[in-house]
Amino acid sequence: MKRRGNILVENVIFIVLTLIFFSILIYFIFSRTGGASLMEEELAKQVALIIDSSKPETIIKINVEDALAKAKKENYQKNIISITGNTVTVKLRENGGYSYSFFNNIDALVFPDTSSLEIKNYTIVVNGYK
Amino acid sequence: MATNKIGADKILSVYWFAILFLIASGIFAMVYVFYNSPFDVRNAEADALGNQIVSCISQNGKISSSWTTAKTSADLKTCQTPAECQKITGEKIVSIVNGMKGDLIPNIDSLVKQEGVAENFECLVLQIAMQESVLQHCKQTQQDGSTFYCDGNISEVKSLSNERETSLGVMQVNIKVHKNIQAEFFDKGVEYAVKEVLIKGYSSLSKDYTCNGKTYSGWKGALRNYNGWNTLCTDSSGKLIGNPNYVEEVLSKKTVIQQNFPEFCSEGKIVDVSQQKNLKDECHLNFNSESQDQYYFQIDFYDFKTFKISESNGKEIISSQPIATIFDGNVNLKSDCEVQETKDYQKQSKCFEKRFYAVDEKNNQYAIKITSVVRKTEKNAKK
Repeated sequence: MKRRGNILVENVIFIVLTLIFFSILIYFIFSRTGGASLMEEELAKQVALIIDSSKPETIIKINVEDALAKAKKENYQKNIISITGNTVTVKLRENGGYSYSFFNNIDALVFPDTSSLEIKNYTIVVNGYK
Repeated sequence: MATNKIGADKILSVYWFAILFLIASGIFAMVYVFYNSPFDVRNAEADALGNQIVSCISQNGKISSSWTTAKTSADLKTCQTPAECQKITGEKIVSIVNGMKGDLIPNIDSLVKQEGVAENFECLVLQIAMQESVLQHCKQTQQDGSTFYCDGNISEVKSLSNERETSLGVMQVNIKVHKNIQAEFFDKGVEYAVKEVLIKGYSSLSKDYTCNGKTYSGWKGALRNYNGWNTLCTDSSGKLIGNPNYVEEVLSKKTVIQQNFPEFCSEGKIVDVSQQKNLKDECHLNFNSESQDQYYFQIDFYDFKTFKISESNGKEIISSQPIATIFDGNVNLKSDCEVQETKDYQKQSKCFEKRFYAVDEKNNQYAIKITSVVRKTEKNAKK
């Protein structure tokens, strides 16, 4: 009986250790792939490339639900995407942000799409060449 | 047996964790390396830049002839009289010299003007070409209206040959002295003559010229250098070596060049440092990125009728010479494209090439190659 009890405890410890091991691994992967800095870089470059490929008089809506969720988690309430000159800046946290420039000499605006109750999209308006 | 089994299980679990540890380390390493590198969007950006230029110069496959004529090329123009052909040749010289002027000497136009040798640097080169070849690259003024009919064909290029020299082309580059230059090609000859002969002879220090007893410095020294600082003035038969009055003769061409090329050489005129500077405005490009000089692009126009492609090591190479080339941005990035052809280095600029066919309003057909280059290494490559 005693020997069987030992086997059970060892198996439980073995399973728990394995689970802890995989949990750490999965946590590491998720923390890396879903980090705010990564999301900022991805979104800034995406918006810059969209503007580079745009023609005047174009309106583009971009889904930023994930980025907004991340900003909310980081307690960041301001606009997450802004354009200054020919640089796009994405900021999902107070002490962070990522900027990327575009070469298209165009007058572009970006603002949250407030057409729905909950903001899910940002609108990029490409007016015309400067 | 039972005791042995438990022992075996324990050993197995140690191995199990060892294997898990190895796998996890691999996954950690892969994730760390992958997500610690920035997203490299330079290829997409260079592609977008190429597209922007294509849509700027071509609308529905049609381009304006001004891209190839007014900006750089005189190749497609035809002429009948010597004066008309000289005009075309001169325009082409101006376009070549204008394109390379920025890389030569700072404030080059002011230096030329101050010394009074010419109105600006392009006009000084025109004066030399007038002296050397009467602005004529080929043996004949023209053939079927083309003044560049001989380009690259050494037997048809204007030459002067004797025991001391074999001088070729519009700038009469002596290939017996300058052995590594194919002066039978118009562009190469002009570029070499300006960069390797004229500019290299420019010095503020004075130097005596034995054959006429005069002292030259600055641009006059550079002109003397162009013809040679020979110390032996005559050969054994008493024939002059070089031209002792070369500098004075080139300077005397100033008026005729001003009359023939008022658009470049009239009083106070400075040829725009690069017409390509306007291209950024015309194509609505703003290259003021995080740091300066992150972009470069080049547009090569080829005559479609003579457009040839050859294959080398499985790669397509354009073997024709462009009839016009326009570029802008950081020209130093261009060399990265040549390296990229053999190996792609992450920390070098990314190049993108596009080719397309277009016609102008006069139904001239062109093959056009656009090379766009994006650097932005700091934002796109792992540090």
